[in-house]
Amino acid sequence: MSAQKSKKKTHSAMTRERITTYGLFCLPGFIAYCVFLIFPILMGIYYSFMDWNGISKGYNFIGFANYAKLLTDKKFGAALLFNFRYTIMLIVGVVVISVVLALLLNKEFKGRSFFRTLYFLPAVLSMITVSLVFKQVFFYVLPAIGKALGIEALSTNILASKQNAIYGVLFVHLWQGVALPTLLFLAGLQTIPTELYEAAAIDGANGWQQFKHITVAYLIPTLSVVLVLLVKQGLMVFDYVKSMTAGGPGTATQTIALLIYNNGFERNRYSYSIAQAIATGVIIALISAIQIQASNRKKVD
Amino acid sequence: MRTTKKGKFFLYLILTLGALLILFPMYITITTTFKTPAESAVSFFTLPKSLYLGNYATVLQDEKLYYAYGNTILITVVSLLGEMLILPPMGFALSRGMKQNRFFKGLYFFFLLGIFLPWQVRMMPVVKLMGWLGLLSPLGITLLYIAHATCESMFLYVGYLATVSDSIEEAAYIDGASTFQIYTRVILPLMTPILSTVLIREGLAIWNDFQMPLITLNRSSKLWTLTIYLNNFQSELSVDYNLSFACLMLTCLPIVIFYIIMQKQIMGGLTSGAVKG
Amino acid sequence: MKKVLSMVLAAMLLLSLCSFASAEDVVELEFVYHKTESNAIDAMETVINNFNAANPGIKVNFVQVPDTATVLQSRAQLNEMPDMFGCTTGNMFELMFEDGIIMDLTGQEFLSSVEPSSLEMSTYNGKNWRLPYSLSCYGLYVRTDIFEEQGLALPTTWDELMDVCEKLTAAGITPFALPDKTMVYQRMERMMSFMSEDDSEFKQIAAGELEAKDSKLLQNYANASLQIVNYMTPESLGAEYTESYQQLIAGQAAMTINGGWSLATLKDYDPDIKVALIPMPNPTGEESKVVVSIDTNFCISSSTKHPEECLKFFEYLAQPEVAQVYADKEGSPCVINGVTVSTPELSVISEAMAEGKICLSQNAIWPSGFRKALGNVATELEIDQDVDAFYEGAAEVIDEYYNN
Repeated sequence: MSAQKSKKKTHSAMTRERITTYGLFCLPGFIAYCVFLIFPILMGIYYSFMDWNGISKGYNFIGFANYAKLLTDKKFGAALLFNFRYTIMLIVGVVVISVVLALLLNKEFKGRSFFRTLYFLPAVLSMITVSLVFKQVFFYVLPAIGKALGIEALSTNILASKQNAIYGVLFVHLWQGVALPTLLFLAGLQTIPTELYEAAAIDGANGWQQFKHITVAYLIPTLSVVLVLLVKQGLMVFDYVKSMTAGGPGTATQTIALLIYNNGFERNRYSYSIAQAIATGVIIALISAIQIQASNRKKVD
Repeated sequence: MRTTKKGKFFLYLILTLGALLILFPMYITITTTFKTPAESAVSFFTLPKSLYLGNYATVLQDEKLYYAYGNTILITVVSLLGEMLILPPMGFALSRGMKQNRFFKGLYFFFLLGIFLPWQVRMMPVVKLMGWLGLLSPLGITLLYIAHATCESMFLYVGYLATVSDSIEEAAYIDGASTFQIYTRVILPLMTPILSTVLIREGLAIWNDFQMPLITLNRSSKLWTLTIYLNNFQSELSVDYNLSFACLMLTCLPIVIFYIIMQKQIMGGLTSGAVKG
Repeated sequence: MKKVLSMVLAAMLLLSLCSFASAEDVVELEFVYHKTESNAIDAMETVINNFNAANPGIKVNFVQVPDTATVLQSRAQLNEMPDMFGCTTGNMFELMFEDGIIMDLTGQEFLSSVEPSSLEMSTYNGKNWRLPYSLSCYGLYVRTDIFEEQGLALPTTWDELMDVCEKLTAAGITPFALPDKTMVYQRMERMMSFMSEDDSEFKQIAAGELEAKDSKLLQNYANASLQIVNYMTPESLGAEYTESYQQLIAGQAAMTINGGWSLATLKDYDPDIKVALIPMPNPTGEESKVVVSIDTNFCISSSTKHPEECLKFFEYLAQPEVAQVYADKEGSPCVINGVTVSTPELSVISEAMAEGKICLSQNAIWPSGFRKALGNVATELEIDQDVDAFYEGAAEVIDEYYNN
C-alpha cells in the first residue's frame, strides 16, 4: 500500500519534469514549422482573397469571390470526381499489395534480403523519371504484348484511351508507390510480440484468425498513417499525370493539381488557383479526420 | 513462422513475378542508355547492338553534373542530419505527451495541418520568404525540408510509437531516469526500424525533389541539384530518352548505394524487433 | 564515417563560399535563356562568350534553366529579375510589360536592324519591350528520300496532299506520324491561324450570334482533321514529339507536321535523315501561308542595376555578323536584317516566307490557355470522330474563355 503511494508521488513529480522536457523536444520543430510552413500558408490564404495574377505588383481584395467561383466551376467538380475515383483505387491497390508483400517478406526464407532490397528499388527513382520510363513501356511494350495476346484494350497505347488512361497512370503510381507502405507495414509487423501468436496457437486459433485478431490489430496504427498519406497523394496527384498524360486524352485524366497548375501558371489566375488548392486541402483534412477518428475507435476495441 | 512446401512454392512464385515486373522497366532503362536514339526507334526491346557509350560520355563530360552532385549531397545530408536531431524526440514527446496533456494533443493536430494543405498554397510565398531572409541557397533549402518534415515524419514517428508499449519507460521512470535519459536509452533504440524507414523516405524525397530547388536555386547552374540537371535534358515538348536515362542512371547511383548501406540498418532493426512488448 | 562526412561537408561549404566571391571591377550581368535545345544553347553561349571576350569590362553570365516561365515568375516576386532574359511570346510576358517589370526599348537605335514587319509584330500596346530575334515556322516535314522513291512531288495544295496520301497508302507506306497524344492543340492553332484572318468567329460564337456548327473555321478544321486522322500511324494518338520523330526516322511514316524547331532534334537522332520542311497546304483551298511566331525575343529587366551595359549587349546582339553566328548554329530564320539562313532542309519554306506568304500565329490574340482547352476538344474529335460533339465542346470552351 505504501509502495503504491510512493510510486504515485514520484509519478506526479516526474510529470512536471516530463512536460518540460517534452516541450523542449517540440520547440525547434515548432519554430521551424511556424516560420517555414505556417507563415507561407497564411500568406497563401491571404492571396486567395485577392485577384492577383501571380505577376503584377498590384492586386485587389475581392473577399470570397474566388471561393464562390469554385462552387460553380464545372471543371473543378469534374476533376474532384476523377480524383476521388483515382484515390479509392489507389488506396485499395496500395494497401492490399503492400500488406501482402509485407507479410510475405516477413516470413523466413532463403533470399529474403534480396527480395526486400529489390522490392524497394522502385521508390529510389524520381516520379518524373519513372513516368518517362513507363511512357516508353506503354508506347512500345504493352501494345506489342496486347497484340500478341489479342487483347484489344491493350493493343494501342493505354495512355491514349479515354477510358483506360487512368489505369495506366494508376499502374505506374502503384508500381512505385507500394514500396514505402510495404516498408512501413514491415516495420509495424516487428512490433507484434511473438508470444501473442504462440498463445493464440495454444488457444487453437487458426492462421486466418491469428491474422484477423493479432496482425490486423497491430497494423491499424500503421494503416491509419498510410491511409492519411495516400488520401493526400491521391487527391493531389500531379507529377505522374503531368508527365504521362498531361490530363489527356482530351480531359480524361484532368486532376485538381493540374487545374491548379494551369490556373496559376498558364492562365495567370494565381489567386483562384490558391483558392482551389485550399479547398482541396480542407477536403483532404476532413476525410483524414474522419478516418483517424475511425481508426482510433477501432484501436480501443 | 513455418511455411509448408506448397506455401514456399507460391511464395517464390509471387515474389518472382513481382520481381520481373520491377526488373523489366529497369532493363529497358539500362539498355536504352547504351543505344543511340535511332537504334532505340527500331529495336526497343533488344539488347544494344554495340555498347554505345556516347550518352554517358556526354553527361560525364559536363561539369554541371559535378556541381549538381555536390549540391544534392550537401542538401540531402544536412537536411537529414537536422531532421534526425529534432524530429524523433519531438515524435516521442508528442506521442507520450498527448496521452496526458491536452496541450500536446492540440500541438499534434496543429502539426498535422501542414500535411493537408497542398504545396501550391505556399509555393510562391515560400519563394518570397526565402528571398526576404536571404536564404535562396542550398543551405537555405535544407531549412525548408526540415520544416516540412515536421508534419509527415512526425506523423510517422507518432504512429509507430503508438504501437510501442510504454511499460519499459514507466519502469525506467520508477528507477529514477530523467525523460531525456529515457529518450536516448530506451526510446531511441526502440525506434530503429521507423528511424531508418523515415530516413530513407525523406532522403529519397529530398534527393528527387524538383519543384523546391527549381524555384529557389535557379540563379546559376552551380547551384543546381541533380533533378534540375536531369530535367534539363527534357524540354517541355521532347525528350532525349537515351541521354535522359543515362543521366538518370548516374544521378540515382549515390542514392542506390545509400539505400543498400541503410538497408542493412533497416533490416537489422526489423529483425531485432524482439525487444518490444 | 563521421569524420569523412564532416570533412566532405566542410569542403563543400568552402567550395560554395568560394564560388560566390568574385572580382568587383567587372560588371556582371545575368542572362537567363529560355530555349532548351542543345543547338540553341550552343548558339547563345557562343555569342555571349564572343561578347565577353570583346568587352573586358562586362561579363554576361549565361544561365539556363529547365522551366523558365516558373523561374521568371518566382524571380519577379522577389524583385530579383535577371538583368536580361530570352522569352517566347505569351500572356505572362504581356503582364510583365504592363507591370513595368520589363524595360521599354522603344526608340533604341539597334531596333532599326530588325526586319520591319517582325518588329511590328513584336510590339505590345504600341511599344517595343523586346528585341525580336528569331522565328519559328510551322509546316509539313516530308521524307524526301521516300518521296523520290515513290516518284511523288511535294504537295502545294490540300488536294495534292490528299493525293500523295492515297498514293503512299497504296504503296504500303503510312503517310503521317503525328504527336497527337499531347500536341493536337498546337497543330490546331497553327492550322486555324492560316485558315482564318482572326478570331472573329469565336467572338461571334461567344456573343451568341453564331452557332458553333455554322462556323466556317470550325467546319473546315474538323473536316481537315478527320481527313488527316485517316492517314496517320495507329500509334500517333499515343505519341508525343519524341515518338513521332522516331517513327519518321524509322521510315514508319513519310511525313509529320511540326515546327522548324524539330529539325535540330531530328538531326540529333539521325544525322543522315533526308527531310524537307514545306508549307502546310491550306484545307480551305485558298493560298497556304506559313504560320510563324517569334519564339526568341530578348528583354531587359527594368530593375537592372546596369542598364547601359545591358543595352550595349543588345546592340551587339543586333549586329548582323553576330546574329549570323547565332543563326548558323541555331538554324531558324532570323529577323535581323542581312542575316541569311542556309539550312537546306528549310529552303522550300524559307522561299515561301521570302515571297511574303506568311502569317502570325493566332495564339497571341487568343485568350491565354484557350488553345490548350480547345485542343482538348480537338483531341477528342480525333479519338471519337464525333463532329457534333466537337462543335458542342468547342462552343463550351469558347464561352468559358471568351466570356470571362
